[in-house]
Amino acid sequence: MGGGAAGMSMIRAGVRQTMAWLHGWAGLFLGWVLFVMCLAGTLSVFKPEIGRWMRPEATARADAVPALVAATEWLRHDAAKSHGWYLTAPDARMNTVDATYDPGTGWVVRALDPATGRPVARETIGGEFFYRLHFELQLPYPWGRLLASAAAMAMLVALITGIIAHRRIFRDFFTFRPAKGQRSWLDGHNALGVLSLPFHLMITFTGLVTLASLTMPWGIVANYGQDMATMFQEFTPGSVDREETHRAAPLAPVAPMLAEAVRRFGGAPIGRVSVNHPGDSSSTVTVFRSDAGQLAYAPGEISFDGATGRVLADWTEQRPALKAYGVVYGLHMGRFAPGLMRWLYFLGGTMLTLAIASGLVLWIAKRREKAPLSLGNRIVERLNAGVIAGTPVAFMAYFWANRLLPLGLAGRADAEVSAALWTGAAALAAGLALPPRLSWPVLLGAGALACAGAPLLDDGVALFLDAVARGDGAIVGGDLMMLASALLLGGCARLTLRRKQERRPARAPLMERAA
Amino acid sequence: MMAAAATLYLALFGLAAGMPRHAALVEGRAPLARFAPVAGWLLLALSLLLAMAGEGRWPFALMEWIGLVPVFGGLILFSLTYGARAAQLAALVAIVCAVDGLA
Repeated sequence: MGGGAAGMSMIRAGVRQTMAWLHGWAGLFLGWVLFVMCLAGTLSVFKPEIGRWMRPEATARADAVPALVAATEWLRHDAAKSHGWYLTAPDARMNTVDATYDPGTGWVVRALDPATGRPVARETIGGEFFYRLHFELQLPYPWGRLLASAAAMAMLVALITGIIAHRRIFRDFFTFRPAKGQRSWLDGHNALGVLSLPFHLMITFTGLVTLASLTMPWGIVANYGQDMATMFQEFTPGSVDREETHRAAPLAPVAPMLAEAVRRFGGAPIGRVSVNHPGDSSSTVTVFRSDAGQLAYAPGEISFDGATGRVLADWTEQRPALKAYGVVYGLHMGRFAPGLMRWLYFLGGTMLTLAIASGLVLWIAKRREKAPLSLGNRIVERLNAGVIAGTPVAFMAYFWANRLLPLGLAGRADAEVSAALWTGAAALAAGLALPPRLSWPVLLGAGALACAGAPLLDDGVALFLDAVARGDGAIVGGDLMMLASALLLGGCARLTLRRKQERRPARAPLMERAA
Repeated sequence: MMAAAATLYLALFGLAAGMPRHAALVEGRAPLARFAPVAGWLLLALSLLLAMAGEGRWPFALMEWIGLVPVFGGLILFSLTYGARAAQLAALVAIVCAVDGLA
């Protein structure tokens, strides 16, 4: 019996060691991609508010129906030849109409003024940058999504192996021992991972499911082959898209269609509107119900004949499998989340981002205490500095570009994104080129200065005071968040500087221990 | 939701106080420390019940409850690291809030 118990104990210890090994490697593999994904995803929680911060001139407000009517009127004249107009209605969080259309120069994403329907003065994609970066990583389709999916799978493996490897999951729930080197990093990593574990599991699993049609397409291929149009039609029967006839037919007034849609939705607000082939006799207008008030994503839609305004299809999703998928998708997107819950989503995302960062740093801290770092680990150490401290600098470059680029600049929205990507590349290069004792404080310090400076740019103080007077929480909150981030990054930069000064004397006891 | 949130804080406080490493929360009072884990688990279940049975829709309440765990857990963790007094004061406030919310 005793031998059996000892054997089981050895097996358990072996399993834990294996899981700990897998946890480490799964976290390191694509860990930097995961860090960028998680930080961008966390910021996406406030996508509409970021959009409002980045368009301070757009202060007009209107209800969804008149704003959508104004937008379609403008698009009717200025994007008449576009194959489609895809509009997101304004709501309590976002005052503009987000529109995707082709003005004749290729597809663009623009914010349209809710009163005039015209694009707002400051051309930017706003929070959409972080949202897209989160799962497309600025890479062409499907490579970005595939990479994001692989990273999410690595994250799920890291989470599950972390739980199995962790012997004292509850005991470490409240434990943090500061200023103890590797022990502190381990405590911090454990606390960040364990305190918010249900959220981490939920967001990783639901994230994987959102990309499942790409990574596990076999069920779709078996049923539909290459005919994706039929699949989408069956998934959203209320969304009608007909073959273009190339016979001109003016779009019927949109306002009655929207009013009818609201009536059929039982008074629920409109979330999105798609106009396919506007100006063609085949045109259709599909109105989607807002999913802001419920967990499930895309609960129903109604399609109208664009030329006559007649109802073509009216669908409310009731199929259990698709409702379940909608809930899983909706949980990841978090669009249903009201005020407090939105902040809890943000907190959960921040904790996951920090858990990834602390895990990457811990990888090096552990190995540095045992022996001099190998070449591979020295590269990991430098990549850590370049990515973890460099990504906030890159993101802040996006906000700086938003405030500094001339309003009339052609391709302004793309220039903002380029500013972020080139700054990120420069930060990564600095992380790789400089020794970590320099790169950490330099990059963290640059991030702190960038955060502190952004609210002051382009007459920022006047904008802030005006926003306070108008009660515009997006601009006030955005500025305050940037100042808080400046303090946090500045504090981290100070800590890394102090650690550099303390590192030499700290080595003596270790050497004594080794002797 | 206030009663559920306050009870959740008290539950986490109890679970932490029951751990030998964190006995500072009850300042070494052995009977309290012995009783704390059981009380912690019971309060945890009670707080979940209170959240789900509240006025709002239960899926939203469940999400909020899950989201509040790291907030209160983090508060206790920081308090244990930098001075247990804040966690003790917060526990007193939580008792008042829980009673007020339940009344």
